[in-house]
Amino acid sequence: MHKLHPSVKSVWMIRAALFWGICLLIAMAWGIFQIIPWPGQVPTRVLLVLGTVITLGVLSAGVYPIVRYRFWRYELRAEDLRLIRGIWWRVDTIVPLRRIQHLDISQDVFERNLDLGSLVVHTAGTRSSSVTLPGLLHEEAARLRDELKQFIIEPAV
Amino acid sequence: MVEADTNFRRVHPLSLVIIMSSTAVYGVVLVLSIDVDGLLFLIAAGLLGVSGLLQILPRYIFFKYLVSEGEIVIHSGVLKRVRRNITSERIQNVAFERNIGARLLNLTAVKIETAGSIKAEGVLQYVPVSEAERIRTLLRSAKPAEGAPDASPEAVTPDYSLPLPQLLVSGMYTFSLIYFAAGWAIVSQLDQIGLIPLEEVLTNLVADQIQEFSGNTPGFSTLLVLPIILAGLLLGWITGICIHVARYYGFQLELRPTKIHRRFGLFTLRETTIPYPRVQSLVLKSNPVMRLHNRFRLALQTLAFDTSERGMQMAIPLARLPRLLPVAQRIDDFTLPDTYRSVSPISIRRMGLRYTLALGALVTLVQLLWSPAIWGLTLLPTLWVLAWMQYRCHGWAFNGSHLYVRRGIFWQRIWIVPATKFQAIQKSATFLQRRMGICQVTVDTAGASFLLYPRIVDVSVATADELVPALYEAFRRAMALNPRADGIDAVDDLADPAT
Repeated sequence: MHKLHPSVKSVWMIRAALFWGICLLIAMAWGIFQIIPWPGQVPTRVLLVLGTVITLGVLSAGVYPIVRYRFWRYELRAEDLRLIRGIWWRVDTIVPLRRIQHLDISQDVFERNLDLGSLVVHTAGTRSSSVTLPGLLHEEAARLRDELKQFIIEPAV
Repeated sequence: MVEADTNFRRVHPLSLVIIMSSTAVYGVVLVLSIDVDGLLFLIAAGLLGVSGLLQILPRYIFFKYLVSEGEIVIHSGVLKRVRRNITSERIQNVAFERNIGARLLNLTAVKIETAGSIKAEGVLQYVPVSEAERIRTLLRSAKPAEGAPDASPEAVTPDYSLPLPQLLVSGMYTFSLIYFAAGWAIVSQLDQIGLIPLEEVLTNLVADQIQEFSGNTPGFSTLLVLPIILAGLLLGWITGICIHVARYYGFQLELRPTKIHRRFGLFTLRETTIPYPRVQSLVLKSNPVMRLHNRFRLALQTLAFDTSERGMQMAIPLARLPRLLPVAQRIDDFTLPDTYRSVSPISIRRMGLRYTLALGALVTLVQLLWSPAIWGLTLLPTLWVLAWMQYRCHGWAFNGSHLYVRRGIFWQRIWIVPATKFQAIQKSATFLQRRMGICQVTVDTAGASFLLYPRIVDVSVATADELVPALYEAFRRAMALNPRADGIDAVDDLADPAT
């Protein structure tokens, strides 16, 4: 089975860092309002909230992407696409290729900078209506899309 | 394609009367709830009426539709103009819905349902019945599979019908906590506005009995709680019966050569048609009392997600199994298994542990505010019994062509999923499940509900490792028989039931 492109870890790290950075800013703003009435003293609750946000931020942006990357695997087989992922909730999905309704390639601003892309496979199923395969080189994502395209059966519905 | 504007039609002008009258009901409730009188009441009512008309009239003026063979084009919206083309290939169902107002004026609402949308994609409110029939015929004429001559409704004897006495019996089996809550809400509301002085009535009704038990002790009013709950339960049960009767009154099911036709409803008459290939799975639903009498309901999971029926289309509201099975087997050729395989008994431990942790967390939190909360821990044995019951009620079977999954303690569901309808197969496990050597196997189908779907929870990893390839192999075999089937329109196992 294939691993994702290692650069995807950077994308996940940046996204998490951005999210927790905003959370930290909000927490700091709240902390300032808590400190104003008692200058020179920092209430314990402020330290507790800031500490929690910083710890969660470090874990989400520093540790989680590395562990998440380790558990991501995918394989395009003759008749199906298999994906294994998840740290806490480990999921092994088999999507038969003939069930594909349509395909997308998505790229956010961070992925674009690293020339990465995500392949989104849509099926008619409710829970697997869109299965995302992240961390592919854009060129590889396009190649996979073209390979999978031939399995789309018309009319879909 | 540019259509001449003159070809577009409007819905019937009398639609305004129906829509206005139904809006007026909400208006009256709103005005009454403001608690004003005299001139203010009239002003409020007038303002509501005018604003209602200002909303409804422009929508009527700007709403136009054009039906051609195999396509319907709808223009709608006042500020934001929307043009919607719905081709017949995408249409899963053309349903007619007639509420009391529409029936009095011989009009009907036409609902056009497509795959993947939560609600009807196109709704024409309201058109004459003859126009609705014309629309349905035109939309179907481009669909060869569904355009095959079906017997006319008059010529066909229903394959299943539900006369009023049986409908009442069916309603009696309906019990839901939602109805209980509704019943409870009604009782408290009537008590609050003084229509029913609840405490007084109950005191008069049961005072003697309570006094006998309590000996006129201070706990007297606490003992009133029991009759109040019973009153709520009774009202909830009666409400359930009434809603059931109103919804399924005159229920008729016809299995025509290419489609299933249903007709039901007291106040709102619904007429729906489901082509056989659109059926994704069958669900047998029952509660303990129904099972005691060998009675079940049959629902169909179809592509068009009907929110009014919670994603399921009722096919048989109530029937004994020997009566129900032949009809169900004409919809999909399956054999109900005699026995179901249990999941791993470790499931009891996992569920019990989950409940224990949840209860522990809840009690700890409440304990901080209210010290007697610690007594909540006495619920623990009950939760472990619940975990054991969940394990006992959960079962599955796979015969190479269909997967059967049974789940639920009170409302038990048996999913019957044909291999041709599998969309994806998934094996998953949480951290705790992995430590215990168990996992969950899920088969995804089109149109399934997000909350209720066929999944085998806490099966041993060894069994799952055998089951997943077997399911996939069955799917591949079924597909090999029908290489063009896409799972939505697969017709191999749902061939013309008349043949």
